[in-house]
Amino acid sequence: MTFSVVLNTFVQLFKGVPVTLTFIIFAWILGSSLSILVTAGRLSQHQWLRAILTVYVSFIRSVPIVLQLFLVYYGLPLVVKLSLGIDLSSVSKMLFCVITFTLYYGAYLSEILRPSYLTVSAEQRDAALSMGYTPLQADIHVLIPQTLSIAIPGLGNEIINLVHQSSILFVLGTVDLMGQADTIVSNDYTSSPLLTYFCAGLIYWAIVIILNLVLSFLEVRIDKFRDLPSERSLIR
Amino acid sequence: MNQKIFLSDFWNIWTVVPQTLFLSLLILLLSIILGTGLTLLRQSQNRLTRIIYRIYISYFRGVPLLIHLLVFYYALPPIVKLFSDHLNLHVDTLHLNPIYAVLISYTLYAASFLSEIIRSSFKSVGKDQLEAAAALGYTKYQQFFAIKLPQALTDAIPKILNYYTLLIRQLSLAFLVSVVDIFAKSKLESADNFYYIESFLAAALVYWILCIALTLLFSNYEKYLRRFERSNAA
Amino acid sequence: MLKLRNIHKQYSDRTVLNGIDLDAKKGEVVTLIGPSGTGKTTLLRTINLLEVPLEGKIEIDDLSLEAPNLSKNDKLALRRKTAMVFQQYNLFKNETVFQNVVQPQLLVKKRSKIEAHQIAIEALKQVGMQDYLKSYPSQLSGGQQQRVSIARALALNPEVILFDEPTSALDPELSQEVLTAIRKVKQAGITIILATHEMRFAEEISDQVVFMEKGIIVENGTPEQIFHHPQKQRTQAFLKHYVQLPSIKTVDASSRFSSIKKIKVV
Repeated sequence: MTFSVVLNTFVQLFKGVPVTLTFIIFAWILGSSLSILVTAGRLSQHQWLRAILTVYVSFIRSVPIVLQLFLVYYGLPLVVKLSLGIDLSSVSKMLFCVITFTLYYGAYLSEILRPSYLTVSAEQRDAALSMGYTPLQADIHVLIPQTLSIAIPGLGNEIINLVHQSSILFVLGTVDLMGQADTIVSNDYTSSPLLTYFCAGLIYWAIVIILNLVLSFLEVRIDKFRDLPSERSLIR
Repeated sequence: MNQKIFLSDFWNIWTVVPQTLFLSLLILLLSIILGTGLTLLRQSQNRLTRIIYRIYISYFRGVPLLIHLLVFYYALPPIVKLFSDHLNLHVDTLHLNPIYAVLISYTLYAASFLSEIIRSSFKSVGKDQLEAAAALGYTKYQQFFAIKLPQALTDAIPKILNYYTLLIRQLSLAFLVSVVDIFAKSKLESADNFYYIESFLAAALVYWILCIALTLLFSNYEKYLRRFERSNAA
Repeated sequence: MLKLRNIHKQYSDRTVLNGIDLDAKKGEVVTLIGPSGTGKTTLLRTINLLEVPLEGKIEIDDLSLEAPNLSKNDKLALRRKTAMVFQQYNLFKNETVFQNVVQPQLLVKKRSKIEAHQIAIEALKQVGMQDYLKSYPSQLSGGQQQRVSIARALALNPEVILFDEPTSALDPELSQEVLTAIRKVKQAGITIILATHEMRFAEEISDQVVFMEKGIIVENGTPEQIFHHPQKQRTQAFLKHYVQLPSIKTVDASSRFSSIKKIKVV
């Protein structure tokens, strides 16, 4: 095992990094947008809407993401074909991945946003309403900014979770970082699976370390009004 | 959607539920032990030990579980072979059961999270509680076993049980090394007849039922554990 | 100018306010005294419509509202004539002192930024907090936070400011600075409804003292009448407690924060 072999492995693996990063950005933007809607729905007055969303969140949280990925990959084309008559067989696999992760994070992130919103004390709302703020003004100017600052550590952990969970996409044959590793192992019989996967792991590690640095920087900036430094824990 | 196949898949999948629950439990117990050890490393006076702890935590939390699994799957046979040759154990490393790779990688990974749960639980027991005990004349030993440990456990157990349900879901990756859990079973069911949707839906339903049942069970247990914290709100 | 008629409020099966009538003239200071859990806080929150009464009539100037059928606009209209100072200060944690005083003016009064800034500085000067414009609430002491919260109320030029036990969460020394700020509010000619356990302060500042118990007004009158010649037996019994211990200060947070026990500082 020479240095050039290692270098070559890294060069090949790096081809997957842009795919992984692009996927993460898309899934995060779509997932967090959905989660805002889900949170608003779960806090709304409509009982039927709350019931539907509770069932949705419960399902997503109970089923492993790899199974959800297969369900969407095999199930969605079937449903679309039967209901709309559109054939999805030539659509990019990445679309199914993005849909799965959007649904997944739409549910998970609402589980962070909703309790954070409820934690912002009733007293803060009282203060705003007592001066004649409309409920919407109270939300926008007082409650949502405080919700975000409470939610940020949790949201940060979920980004890192997202990076990790994106590694499962390769089961559909994608060309992201883990997909590249899988391609090397299955196409090049001289390659060492151990070395290849380990190197892929190192790249994921580096991504996570950089993300953690960015996140703790952001946290300090956004959290300037809270006196106690919050402790980030990676457990959900 | 073939209902008959769905139903037969559904019942067949239940047959692997006990072993899935057992394997997850085994991993959980092993990682509690390792996690406690890690917590001790962290609190060590020795700087090197603390650095080792930090690198361990950073690595096992920084790299996806999937990769830990595959790395140990490929690394284990040569390591075992090395020991076996050295000690003349004649272990058949070519047919090493992949379950060992699952056990080791999952335990190392889960321990990095459980050590945090355990540490924060011990931290959550207030100094005032121990001071009260000391003031009453408890020995250090009595303070730990009568006050600190029970209170820390009350805090830790619900979190650990929550981690257990997460482990059950995470075990779904084990199909990559052909260890059969709930998800792997559903893949096997559909491998012959190509009724993918039926078997995946059946598996999802099994997970859902299992998760709801366990969550209910655990939250009732948590209520029982926290009975003395009940606030007497007006 | 403030007129309450027959206010009733119930939580599930517990009656909290059982027919309250109250009148306050413009610029008058009305103090609510009485045992804790007697409905003083609820009454204040009702005047602000943070709690909607089961029945009753609330009038401020030309605005007259009949409970319980109140629209969103009714609530807004009433709240824009009143402001509230809470026991736990309730400053917006995500905003600096300056923002806390400026933002409500922009949102509620629709003032221009320049005007709002001037008024905010003026209000903060009145309570002696003009040197803390850029501080966040978490960086201030309780007394300082409460003074900012008074400035926030002042800046809105309300007809009435409702004070809900504004010094109950504070040490005696810190209470003094808040009481001084309340005197300033009185000097500004704003009507004050104040719930408090500070009997000496109540006697000094009030035009009208109202003794409440179990959701009804037992007795009301001038400070002289209530504190020195109370007519009703219940009032006498309640005040005896304070006469015997003249310097007592009761920190009473039990009505909303059950975990905090009643502490008496002598």
